[in-house]
Amino acid sequence: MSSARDFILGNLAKGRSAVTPVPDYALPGWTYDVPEHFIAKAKLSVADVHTIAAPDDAPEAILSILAAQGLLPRLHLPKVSPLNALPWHRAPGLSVVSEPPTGADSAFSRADYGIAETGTLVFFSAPQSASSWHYRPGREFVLLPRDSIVPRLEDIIAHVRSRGGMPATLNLVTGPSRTADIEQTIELGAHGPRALDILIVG
Amino acid sequence: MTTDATAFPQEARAALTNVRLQGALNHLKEGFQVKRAKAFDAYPIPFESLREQGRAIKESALSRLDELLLQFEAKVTANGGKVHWARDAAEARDVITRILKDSGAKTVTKGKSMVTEEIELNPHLIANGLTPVETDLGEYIIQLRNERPSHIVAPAFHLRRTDVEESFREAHQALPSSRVLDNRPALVSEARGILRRHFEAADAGITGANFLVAETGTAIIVTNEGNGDLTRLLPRTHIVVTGIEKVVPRLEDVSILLRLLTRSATGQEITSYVSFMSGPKQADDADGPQNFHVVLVDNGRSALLGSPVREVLQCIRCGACMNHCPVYGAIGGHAYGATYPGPLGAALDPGLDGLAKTYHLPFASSFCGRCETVCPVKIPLTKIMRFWRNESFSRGIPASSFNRGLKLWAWAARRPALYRTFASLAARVMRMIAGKSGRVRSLPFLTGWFIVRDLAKPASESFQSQWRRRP
Repeated sequence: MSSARDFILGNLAKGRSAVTPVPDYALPGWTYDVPEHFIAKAKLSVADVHTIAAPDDAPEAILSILAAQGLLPRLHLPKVSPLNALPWHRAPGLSVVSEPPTGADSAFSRADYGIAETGTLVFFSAPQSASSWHYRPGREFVLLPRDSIVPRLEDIIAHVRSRGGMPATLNLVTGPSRTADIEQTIELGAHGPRALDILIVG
Repeated sequence: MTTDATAFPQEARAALTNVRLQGALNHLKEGFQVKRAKAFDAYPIPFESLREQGRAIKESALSRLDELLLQFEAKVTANGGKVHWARDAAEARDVITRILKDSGAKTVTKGKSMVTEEIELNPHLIANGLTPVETDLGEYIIQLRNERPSHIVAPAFHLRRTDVEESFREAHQALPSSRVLDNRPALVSEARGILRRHFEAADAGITGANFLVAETGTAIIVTNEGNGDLTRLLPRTHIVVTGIEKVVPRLEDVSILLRLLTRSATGQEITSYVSFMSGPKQADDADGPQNFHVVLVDNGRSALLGSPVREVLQCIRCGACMNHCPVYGAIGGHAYGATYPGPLGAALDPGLDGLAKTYHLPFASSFCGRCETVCPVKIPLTKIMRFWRNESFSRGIPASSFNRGLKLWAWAARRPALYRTFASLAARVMRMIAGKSGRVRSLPFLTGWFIVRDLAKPASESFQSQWRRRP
């Protein structure tokens, strides 16, 4: 295929022009409280936002949300996840299982960052974090430490640079899955979760 | 339906009287235009300042596209992926088929990709014994109906809920025929269940890319359903198929363009999902594809870079130009008979498919310029359409009565006395024909023009003769 490559690059070389400068990007000034703005934007994206005092409060919080929604008290959590170390015994009746969730199940994960501008969760692929689990369940619970919320996507890019580059997969998730493909009307839960619960810690 | 842009006049005429289509087109205003306007009004800095940044990013990237693609290729390779180059549609189809066969794939899930529509990938995969399944809900619906997308963002835009129900009942015969499908949630839920099984069974997944980033070797998809991510993450092999013009230098460029794209397309500040895909899974990663391929498709683009229509390569495929176009708004996307409809298509299709097939499309515009005012990267769409009109005239495509008529008119217009004589004669005839009705509904030799138009009765005295009498 090197001939296709040569052909294309040859044509592009002919089409080269003086490199035009790109101005410094002008972004709006940031005047908001970062976590509060995140919460407001996440709610607009139809996520449910809950606040807990410490990560150890997550099991009880999840059990009570599942009960309030009339859902099965069962939670999918990958074996490799550090969240397995939470005090799950504090939520008696909640069973924690490790097989991949189906579209009807609930799953739990921890976000690496939150973006306040858009109420977005950020997940880096890693040994202890399964990227596909953000799309497989019917309901996703996400733990987000308050001090992991940054103003903008630009701040995430700065983190990417400081950690030495991109992971194989970096996912931005804002609210539940949705589609407007039938008659331009939004329906939640197209392929990914129908509901997204964000547990902000602190 | 036709995929022949030479039939544009007939298809456009048929579209005007297609009741189902006209009903769908009524959604353009509240579905797209209003949402977009609100999204930009809510952004704290003016749209104009943001779009000037977007334009500058794309212009600068195009000025050194070869360099950026080489950097992208080197990075993807360093990340453990492989980059393939394809000159045209046939080469792209062959590359993709070979990757699939080499990896032993049989079933293939697909995320939404206009480039795979452009290269007509699905029929080729089927002919090679592979089973492609479109997983974007709109694309899935039109795949079942054997149709093409009528809009680049909302492919099933032209269909009603009842059309979807009919297609699902026909395709999903294993489900009980007594099931209720008379509402949107039921339809979405049924597709979710069916397509989930396809995701889990697929050997390979194909997605497009909204952007490529040279510095990190990253392909980015911007979606709302999550199908693109299940397409990438569950199968063994992930193939990104995209155009060579999608690459930008840095991640920060994407951050700016993303703000423009989602607001322009659907009026969202951000879509539910934005995914940055830079290679196969790392050795210890919990999941992800083992193989990662990027197929860079030229198909006419590299030749446009050195041409007067170069700026059309800035396009980020938001669809705002078609959402605001009075012609698209009257006839929808299928009538264009080419991959990309609306003003974008009128500017791009002649470059990709050749003027001989697409000469009608640059004429499908009143030059009102609305497309240009909403374009997030400031593509001079009317200038480009005018260029294609000139090209088509000077190349004699088509060598038709239209070109001869235009030449005759130009000859007369340069002879004022002659022109005035004919014009006043024509005005008198038209006044007679209009009579009391006040409208001219037909003229000899021009019956075709009058099928969907009429003319006002000319004034009793021309402007020029009134001007001569002024005190």
